[in-house]
Amino acid sequence: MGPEESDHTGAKAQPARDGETSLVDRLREGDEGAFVELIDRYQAPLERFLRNYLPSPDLAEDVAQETWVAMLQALPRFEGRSSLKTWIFRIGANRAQARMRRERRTLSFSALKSAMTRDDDESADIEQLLPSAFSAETGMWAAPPARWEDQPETKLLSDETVRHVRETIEQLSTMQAAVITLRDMEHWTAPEVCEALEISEANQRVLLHRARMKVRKALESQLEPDAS
Amino acid sequence: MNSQMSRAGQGFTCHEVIRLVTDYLDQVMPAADRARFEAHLQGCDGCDGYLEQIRTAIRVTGHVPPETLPPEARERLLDAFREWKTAEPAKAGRNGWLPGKLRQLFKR
Ligand SMILES: [Zn+2]
Repeated sequence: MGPEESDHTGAKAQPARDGETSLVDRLREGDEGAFVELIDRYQAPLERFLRNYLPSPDLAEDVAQETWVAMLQALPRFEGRSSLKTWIFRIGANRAQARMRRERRTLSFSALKSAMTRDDDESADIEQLLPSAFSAETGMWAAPPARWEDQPETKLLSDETVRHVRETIEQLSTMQAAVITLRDMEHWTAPEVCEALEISEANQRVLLHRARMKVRKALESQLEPDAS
Repeated sequence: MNSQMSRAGQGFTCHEVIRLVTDYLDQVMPAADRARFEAHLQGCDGCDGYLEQIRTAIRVTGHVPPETLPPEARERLLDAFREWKTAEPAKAGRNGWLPGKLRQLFKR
């Protein structure tokens, strides 16, 4: 049995790797190069991640900066039990949630409405997310789904298709969007996501599953406009 | 007769396969379920195609480009770090103390 650490959540994510340990040591010594390395690696992903919680890019940038300050402040208490990466994003998520609680009082009506739509999304009917070629009544495929993997790369990864996917993710609930951003855009592992978002593996999977179903559905309407 | 589908507890339905796709891709299914899942895919074009569509969705999501960091924002962060560093790093290191001036940098 070991003592509980402030940056330890009990999740099974990789603890700080050797490269990260020396990065933390250098930061504590005030090495600017270490800080540059860190913001070059994580500032853009952090801002993109925070956008899931906050209604405007300006707010996300603001909270990202707040996150770095909070990270420097808390550095003495970081004991390397979680990775530096998940720790930074956890600080960011907590700051973003706190900011939203404050902003809700002053937000404009339209921004508030969009924030509420996102949070309300969890109840969406899962049946509607099934492929159009699948019949929920019979439990059978009316026709096999189209083989998207055979489509040319230029269509599959066109600016238009990718933009449509990004817009779909922006419409997801905050937690679904946060999970799919980290898993499928940043290529984090499931344990890393659980550690950063402080959620269980089962919850992480449900959120990811629903988010991917919605992205797949969005692609269906994009790649097969006649299907539904 | 399809013995695999007729025995209770054997074989997944298409509905179950659709529901379990994420568990399958994350490799968190018990070995026996995994084998049943893969057996279903072997015999079901529909579910096999569906799994490939989900894989494609993951791939396209991975191609959403990250935002680029404006140079001013980077400079502001570096200024903040320099403040933190010069303001008694030893004290900052022990107590997590942060100078008020550093906080000011973030107020735009
Ligand atoms: Zn099937």
